[in-house]
Amino acid sequence: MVRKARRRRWRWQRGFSLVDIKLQIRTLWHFINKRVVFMLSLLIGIWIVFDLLSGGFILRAENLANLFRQATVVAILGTGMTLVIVSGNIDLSVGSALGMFGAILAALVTQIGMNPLLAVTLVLGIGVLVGALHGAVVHYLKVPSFVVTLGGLIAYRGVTQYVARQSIPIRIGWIKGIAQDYLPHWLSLAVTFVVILALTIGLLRRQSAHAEAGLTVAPLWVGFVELSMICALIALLTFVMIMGRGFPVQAMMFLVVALIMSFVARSTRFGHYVYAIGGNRTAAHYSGISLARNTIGVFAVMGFLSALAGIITVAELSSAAPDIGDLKELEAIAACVIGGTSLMGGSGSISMSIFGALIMTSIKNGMSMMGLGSQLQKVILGSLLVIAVALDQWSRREK
Amino acid sequence: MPLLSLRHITIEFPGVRALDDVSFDLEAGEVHALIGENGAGKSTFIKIIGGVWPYGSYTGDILIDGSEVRFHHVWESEYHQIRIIHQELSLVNEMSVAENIFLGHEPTRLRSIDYTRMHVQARQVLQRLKCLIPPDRKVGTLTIGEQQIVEIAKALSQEARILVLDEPTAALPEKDVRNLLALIRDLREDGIGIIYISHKLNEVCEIADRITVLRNGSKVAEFHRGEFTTQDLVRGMIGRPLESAFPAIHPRGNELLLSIRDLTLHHPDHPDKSILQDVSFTCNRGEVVGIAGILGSGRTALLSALFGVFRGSLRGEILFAGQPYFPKTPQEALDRGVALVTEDRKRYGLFPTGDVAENLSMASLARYCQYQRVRRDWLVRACRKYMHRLAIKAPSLGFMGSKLSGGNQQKVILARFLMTQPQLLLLDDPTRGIDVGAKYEIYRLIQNLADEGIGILFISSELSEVLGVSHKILVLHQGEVRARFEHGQKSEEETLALAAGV
Repeated sequence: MVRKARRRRWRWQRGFSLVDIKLQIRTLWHFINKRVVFMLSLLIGIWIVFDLLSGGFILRAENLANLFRQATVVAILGTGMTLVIVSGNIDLSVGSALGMFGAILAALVTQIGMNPLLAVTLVLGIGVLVGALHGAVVHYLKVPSFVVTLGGLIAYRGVTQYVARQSIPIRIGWIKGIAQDYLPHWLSLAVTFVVILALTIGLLRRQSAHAEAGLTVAPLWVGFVELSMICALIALLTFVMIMGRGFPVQAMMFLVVALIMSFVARSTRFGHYVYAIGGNRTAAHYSGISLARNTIGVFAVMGFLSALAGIITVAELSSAAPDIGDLKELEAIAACVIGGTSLMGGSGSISMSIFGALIMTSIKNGMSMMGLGSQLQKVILGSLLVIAVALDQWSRREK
Repeated sequence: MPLLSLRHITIEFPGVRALDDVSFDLEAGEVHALIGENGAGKSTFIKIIGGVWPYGSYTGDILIDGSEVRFHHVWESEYHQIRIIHQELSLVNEMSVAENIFLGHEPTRLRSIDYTRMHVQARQVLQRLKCLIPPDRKVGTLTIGEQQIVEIAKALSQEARILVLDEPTAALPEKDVRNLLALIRDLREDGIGIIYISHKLNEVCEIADRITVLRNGSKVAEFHRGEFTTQDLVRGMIGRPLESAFPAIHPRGNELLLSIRDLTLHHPDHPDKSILQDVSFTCNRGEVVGIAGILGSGRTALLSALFGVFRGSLRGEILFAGQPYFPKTPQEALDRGVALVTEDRKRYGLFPTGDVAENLSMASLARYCQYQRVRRDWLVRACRKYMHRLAIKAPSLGFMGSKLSGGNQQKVILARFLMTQPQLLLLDDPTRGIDVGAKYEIYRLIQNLADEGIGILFISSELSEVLGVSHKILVLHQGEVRARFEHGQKSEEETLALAAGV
């Protein structure tokens, strides 16, 4: 306090001081989360570059809303995939599983005429069970998760192609609404407000917890600078989208899943255990952590999210086709890897994977807006993935 | 003229001067030991000799045969016939002994590997080391002692003038230590200069012609053979004399905690073979029971069985706090109040990607949870308390676990299990690979825990430790109890003879 007051007086006497600003910028740079800053500026950079290249299409309200809609499925899968990879496993089946769950939902609702709400609940339940089965086979039968889920990748595609051999239309309004509707403007604003409020409270609580933990604490103003940058971005995005048709319901679900999964990873026992198991399996076992329960849990969460992604996908397309969800497992893994999740297990972060999903979708979206052919897009996307990870490894080595 | 000579080596890392003006000479045909606590700068020293820290990252000169050398890469150091054997062996378990020895420089004919020649040469190298391992055996099937010899053979398969051994005996049973020391004497006769790094002062005193003591990156003393006592070495390493090697033993409790009767453990892969045969003993609250025995005597199996990690079948009766006790998993053992701290920190203990807080709290996380949510504030308070109690030196709770020194890592793992508030603590060689000062702190902690009424079973690869800290000692040999006696009743030599089955 004394120092702050002295500094204020000093500035008062000398007027505007360059030294003072320099010092503050250095403090900011020291404490700020550089990976977040890097990913955020990369994302904004990509938007600006493609906006210029495509002649101002990217940052239009409609396209921004679309971009978030396109990113939803990959981001939702990516949050679950992060946990799976952190635990030292991999799940290759999510794309096919997504297709299967979507096809089952469409079949239940349209062909059997089941109550849509019941059908959605049932599909989510099946998702959990299928995931738990993966986990159980991995843990109890000691089959590597790569093999178990590779089997799933092939088998579930077969199920999808059988169930949806002719594509099944979906006619229930509210199911389609999940993916196609927009929130009313007042609700969008309310949600934005709540999110910003939650982030602010989170910052203040983290600040006091860190101070008590004896972690080096950044001055509060640094946190506020960080926070206001993120809040400004969120507010800006909301306002731009409101100018168009509004905030898509899908983006809302994306946000909710992201927040819940972040909480699960960082602040629950389950989350801590997953990181421990991925970091050192034997040590985790010797610390009394149940490998069975947590392995099954991780895959069950992944199964639930695949089912959710399946429902969103068929809602988006208004029908279930045999090839839905194809290659989504690899996009989800790519999102995690771009976000810096280590395939060795033990480290990774949900929010970084979400950035990864957004970056990948933005590049895809931008290339489409520029009118590049889908063949060329794939070549570029594949190369960018490798370059991104190479850059990430390089930046780590420098430290 | 010395074979190898380092002049005024100084190297700095951000925030720490790892080596400060250290000079070091090595003659041909000399064993020069390097000792010091963890963090004293021994590994940095080796890394400079090995070219891991390249020329330019340090100041000072390295001379070989009096002429200056500059290592920019690891292979330049190898080119000067410097061979380093690291503490962690770098052998490929799935390959044969010969393939391992010649890994990277296989004898070839017509551009394909000449296995006949490889085996002949491997046998020659092994014979030079007076070792009879068949060159076609897979390395994974050898004992650690044999693997250590293969590692030395690998170093000697190419011409070597300087051999650096980093804690070669840390994992070796007593018998193999004897062999290794004899081997080192032979190599010395051949004119090889040997740098020998170890925590075990008795070995160092026995083998070394010269001893350099490092403390906090500085050279504090250099002794020649016959010019020093063990006390001098300890004083040099920790900067103060150690009053006695072990703290005084406190009186034991008299309430029965654990009673084992006729415990037999069967080998998981050969059910007809038993690892432990009709072992009976008891442990009171507040009592330290030492278990002496060489590697393979069944001592580790006994502790694994009590912690629920033994894979084979078991027979007999175990009563813990008056109740039958047969844990199937560590979870069950921890729930009943039994905790195990093992010697192999990297494998069984440390979460390398986690921070100190995570490493401390992982076994007792349920205590700091409200429903499923981890209460960071509760957790931090508990971690603080135990860090203080065990005097764990870490910059903060957010510090990466893998960056702590060995002694502090071990203390963190010990704290992790103390945080589960156990009634019975199983310690399997808890002081392995940590320095004298930290060892003493752990001995004192053991006495304090016993004072609080915790029962302790203690195993160590150093016999003097078992004899020094335990109320009651059990000697195991080939799965059977050979002898049992009270503190101070038998000398180290007598116990060793019993444990070796003589």
